[in-house]
Amino acid sequence: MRVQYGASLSLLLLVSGCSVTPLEQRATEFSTAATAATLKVQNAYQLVEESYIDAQMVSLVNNFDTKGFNATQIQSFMPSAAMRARTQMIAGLQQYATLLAEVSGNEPVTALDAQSEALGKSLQGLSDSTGLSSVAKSANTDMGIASTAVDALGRILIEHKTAKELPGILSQMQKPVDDICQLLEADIGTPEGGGLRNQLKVDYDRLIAEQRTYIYGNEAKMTPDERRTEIAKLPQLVTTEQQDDVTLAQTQAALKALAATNDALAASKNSKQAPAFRALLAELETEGQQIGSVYKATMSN
Amino acid sequence: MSTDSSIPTDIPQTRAAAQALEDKLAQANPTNLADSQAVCTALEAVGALLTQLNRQDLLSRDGAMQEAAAAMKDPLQTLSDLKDQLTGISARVAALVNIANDVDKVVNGCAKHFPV
Repeated sequence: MRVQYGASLSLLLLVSGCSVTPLEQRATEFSTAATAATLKVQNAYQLVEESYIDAQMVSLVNNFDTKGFNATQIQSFMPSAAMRARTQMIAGLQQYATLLAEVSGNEPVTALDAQSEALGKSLQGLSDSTGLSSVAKSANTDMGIASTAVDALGRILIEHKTAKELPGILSQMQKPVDDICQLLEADIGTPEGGGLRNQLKVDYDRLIAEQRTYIYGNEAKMTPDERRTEIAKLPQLVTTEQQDDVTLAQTQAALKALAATNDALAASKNSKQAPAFRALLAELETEGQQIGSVYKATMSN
Repeated sequence: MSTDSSIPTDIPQTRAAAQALEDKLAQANPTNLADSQAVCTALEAVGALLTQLNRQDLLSRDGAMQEAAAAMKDPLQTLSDLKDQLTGISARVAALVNIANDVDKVVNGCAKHFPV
């Protein structure tokens, strides 16, 4: 009975033309996981922007009596051209993931084509802009490598692809995706060595020092409960810093997993089973979920 | 006036010196308002230097070096001004031992590699 049912289903799929190759199936799964992971990468920059603004705000409050308020004192951490470059590169990775899913689905999608084309053109414009040179510099990467990676990503998004071109797309995009992920990983950096993680540490050290100064400066006027509340904020700041740093580290891990999974997907073109790809995909999905839950908690605080 | 001849010889060493000073100030645990304010101000100044170094990493070298140098002028002056006060605090706050040398390394390193 079960055999009959299985045979009928296979026949039905064959007749209706819905057969999906193992590679297309894997590309679709990769697309879902990669989209989730890249959505989270943008949040890493947002997290550090917030800590940087918070540090400036507490300093403003503590020093208002002596320094007053000058609007130019409050600045964003990331220069706008550098942030725009990163936003476009992350959007490019997302669109690449979407492209894989659509190509694997055998369906021409006009709306996606238009979106891809627009983003592809903006990426090609980015490939020779000053914003991109800043990304390359931060990753100690040759400007030519960054430019080539972004240009290749832009080109693939502009061209209208079909399912039969999937293996070619994967081969073509292996190095550009690796390079872009590496550039973004380098941006995140380390707590002691520079990048977003170092900036987070610097901001939280300032927040803690400013909070301690605020307590000493105002404790004579505080009720015991108010004093307790303000003192309790010190360990809260330490905990939040630790959580945020873990989130940034997980974002780095997700970028690494994204590049490795994309490589494994490209390498599995001729395989029916792809155990290496499966293992990396599971890792990418896990990293994406972990970052998601931490960002959700952080942003709701 | 320098109290230590080991001036950082390149930008990574200058960063390491600034990071070491930042770590030391962050670990200090001042127990009165005046000390806390001095540590806080020094932390803000060295934090501003590290922020410029982080930004400089994110920007292209030629234009950014001049911007970074200009933005470092005030924090470096603040650190120099605070050196004597921090040295005084170090008599009470163990974590700040040898702070004058640390300040000198950062100020001299930044002055050498980011002419202001």
